[in-house]
Amino acid sequence: MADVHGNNTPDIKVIGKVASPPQRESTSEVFHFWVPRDELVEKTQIVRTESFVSSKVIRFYAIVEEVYRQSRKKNIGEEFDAFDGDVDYQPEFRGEGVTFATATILRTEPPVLAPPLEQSSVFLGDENDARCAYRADEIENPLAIGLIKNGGSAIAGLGMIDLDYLLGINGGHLNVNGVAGRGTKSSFLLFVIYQLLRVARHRAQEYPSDPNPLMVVPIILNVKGFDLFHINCWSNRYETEKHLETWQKLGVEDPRPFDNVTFYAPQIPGGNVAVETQCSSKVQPYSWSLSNIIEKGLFTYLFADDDSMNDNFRALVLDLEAYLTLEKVEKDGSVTRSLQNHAPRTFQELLEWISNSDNRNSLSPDHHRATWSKLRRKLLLLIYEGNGVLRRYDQNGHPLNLGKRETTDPIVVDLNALTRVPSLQRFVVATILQQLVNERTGTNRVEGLIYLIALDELNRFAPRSSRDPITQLIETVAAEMRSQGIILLGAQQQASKVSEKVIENASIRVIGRSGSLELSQSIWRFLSKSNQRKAAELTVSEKMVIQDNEPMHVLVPLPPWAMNPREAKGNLADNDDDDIATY
Amino acid sequence: MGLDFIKNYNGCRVEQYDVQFPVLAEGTDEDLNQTPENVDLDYEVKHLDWEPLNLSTSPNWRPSNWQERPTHFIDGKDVGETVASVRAPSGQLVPIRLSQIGSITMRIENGECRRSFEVVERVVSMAVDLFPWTEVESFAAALQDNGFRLLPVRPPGGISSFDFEIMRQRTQNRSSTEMEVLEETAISHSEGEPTVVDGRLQHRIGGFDIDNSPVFGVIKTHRQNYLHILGMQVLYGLEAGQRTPVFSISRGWLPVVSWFVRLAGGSGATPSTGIVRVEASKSWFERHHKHNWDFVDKLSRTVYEYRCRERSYGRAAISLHPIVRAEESLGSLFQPLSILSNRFYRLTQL
Repeated sequence: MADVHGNNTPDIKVIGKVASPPQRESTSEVFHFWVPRDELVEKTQIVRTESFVSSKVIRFYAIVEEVYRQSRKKNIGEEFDAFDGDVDYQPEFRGEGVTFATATILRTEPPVLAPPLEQSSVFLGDENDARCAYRADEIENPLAIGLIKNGGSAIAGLGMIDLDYLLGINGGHLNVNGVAGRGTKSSFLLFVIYQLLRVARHRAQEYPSDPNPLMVVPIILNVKGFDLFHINCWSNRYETEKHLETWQKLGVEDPRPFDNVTFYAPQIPGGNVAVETQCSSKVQPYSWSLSNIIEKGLFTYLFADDDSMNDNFRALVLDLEAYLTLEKVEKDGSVTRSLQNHAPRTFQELLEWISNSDNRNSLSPDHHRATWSKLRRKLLLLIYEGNGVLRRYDQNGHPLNLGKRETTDPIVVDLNALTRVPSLQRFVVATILQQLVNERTGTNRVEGLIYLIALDELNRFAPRSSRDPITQLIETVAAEMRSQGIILLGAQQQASKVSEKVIENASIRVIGRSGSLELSQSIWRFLSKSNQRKAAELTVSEKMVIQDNEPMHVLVPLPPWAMNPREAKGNLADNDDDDIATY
Repeated sequence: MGLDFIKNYNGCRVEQYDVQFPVLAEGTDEDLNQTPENVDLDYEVKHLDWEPLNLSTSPNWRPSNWQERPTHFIDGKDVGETVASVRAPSGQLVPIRLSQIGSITMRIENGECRRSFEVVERVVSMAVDLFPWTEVESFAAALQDNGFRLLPVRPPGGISSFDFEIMRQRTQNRSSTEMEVLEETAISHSEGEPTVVDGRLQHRIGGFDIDNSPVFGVIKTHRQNYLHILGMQVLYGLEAGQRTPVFSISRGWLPVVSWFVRLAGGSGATPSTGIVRVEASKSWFERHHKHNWDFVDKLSRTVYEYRCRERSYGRAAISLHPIVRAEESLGSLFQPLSILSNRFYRLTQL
């Protein structure tokens, strides 16, 4: 084969020639090429073409957007005539149609805004071309998140994302969209966490005195069944012979389930243990008493429903919180909070206190009787429905304490048991985020430590157009906390139903198979029609990763850990050799 | 002098116009009573016994199973126009024709037409005898340097005309003749394989051995009548897939055997629609297939099966699919004439 200089380059496969007839002109963004007879060109293949313009060679890296076949007939009547309408007739001449493809330019090197010239050779991209096309060669801090698909079954090397864009230096957060039950969201988030833990530990081992170490603390919020309470078990879907190769291509020689996972689940009412999760490991209970709530400054989050949020109600809640709280300034300037000595000691006492109208004089007289009644109703509902997580009669609970000082194995916190009380689920999320914000902004802040919050069903926690405090908190985390080391690994079935601020602040967006109705929403306008169609047809193991370029089509390995009880073999991952999995 | 030749002889551009061809002499029925000289209508069947002939091939017969089927198809193209004129020292206005000429061979392989040979040239044809030889040489060399070839047009008998149209027609004939030379080159590349040429064999005999090469001409445009009145009736009465009896034509340098085949027609079409004439070297035919009417039937059936079925193609009724593909393929190698004309104008500063 000859390049633009006419030199022979025998190892490079030419799969077509650029064509730019009327109606199919090349632009700086797209070009078309015809395909030789008997050559297979597939949608999503990486291709490269070179043109000699203005005394220099310009390389265009592109991805095949669609492949077309056009017969030479002018209309369907001529197609009919070729057979004389007889399906059994075999014409003397074959169709001799033309296969051609449309390719979207991903990168031009040197960076010029010009189209390739017609009749330029088009080469099938290899690993190097894929690296260039997706600018992996420019990434200083890469993380492999899959194998780049080069057509239906071929692979073109590692698909990289830039950790500087994921972990807060230049950008932050990752968002996954996909339909339920396709292994699209949670398994991908866990895969990213797995890779991040692997990199963090590898770096710690290789550069023990690195002044800017990478330390990650993954906090995984379980929102469906108790599925994620089995990620320390082998998956019975994982077959080494079948699935190991993909992991090995990603540099993981011996993939294993997560080790040393810490599990938290809501405390049962009237008991001191967590609800039943069928987890084979120890599950720690979490709950809050009234004093815990006051100490952590979480009182307002108890009443964070959208419909609660009018000024009168909010004022009453804040006034009551102030009444219940004793703030003390320590010598180092920090403020500690505790429950006032004269205040009710439990939620039950607080409910009785509010019900007694004589006590209302303890607060500002401005609050209307109806507002008081509303507060009483809300609190009553909350402690009835949330009994267990909110300790109705206990003065002490088991509040979640997720603050860490170094890389740790995943912490799984269950929200599923609170499904019947969405407001309580949101409260727990807000509590965790608030705690992490305090950790990352307070005096105990650990430089370089990054909290990864994996949260599915974002539409429930930060719905679009909602202005409640929890949505606002998540928006604040998405918009401002990346630089403080809190990274949201969010997921949802319908990004169109999630706060725009949360979605737009995700530097890396991942699309698994998604519904066509969802893909027709305006939030997906940035995707070409072809990519939208592609997103609707992705298989379980395929993802489209969008960083700052065209979507990168990657193959993600099947996880060796169980993603639900059915996949769990029931045995813990072997911990016979090391405490830490071999990453 | 070089490209200044045009300027120096008062060259100017010529706008395109509809050429008025001379009216052809109209024939009469009396003419049809006269069997043309050199045409033997009794070659296969006595001329008084002529009738449409059904082909002897069975309905299931397929050309692809016939060893002697044509596998190579030759076409040529001459696309050009009179772009300029110069004034000769003797006062004549001399037209200059710029054209692209080329020829192509399409080889049939597994039911697909593949290009196995092609040649394309850009030529400038004009009468040169009216100008100093050295200046013409210099002009030709300069054209050559810029990718054009000068085709000198020599008037018959060495007498140049003052009639611009006659001179223009001669330039056109010259480029067409040169195209036929390229077609001969294409035929010669067929290496003795059964070959079909688009048009008469007469002008391509330089490309094949008239005694031993299985080369057949398929003529779409009938400029001359070879038949008698009964023959015309038989011709018009042909059904699709039928042929006339074989006759021979001995005029010119190449005696041929010939017959008509109807590829399409009926259902309201004019009687002459969809008829092609097939010819083969008489010498070759008599040497290899004398009185072998079965061969004629098979070749006719092949031509019929190879007919173009694309109604959108203007001449589909009288065209063969491989020839249409050859035309398309050769056409794709040609540059738009406007580009060539403008390049010529820029080079010659017209």
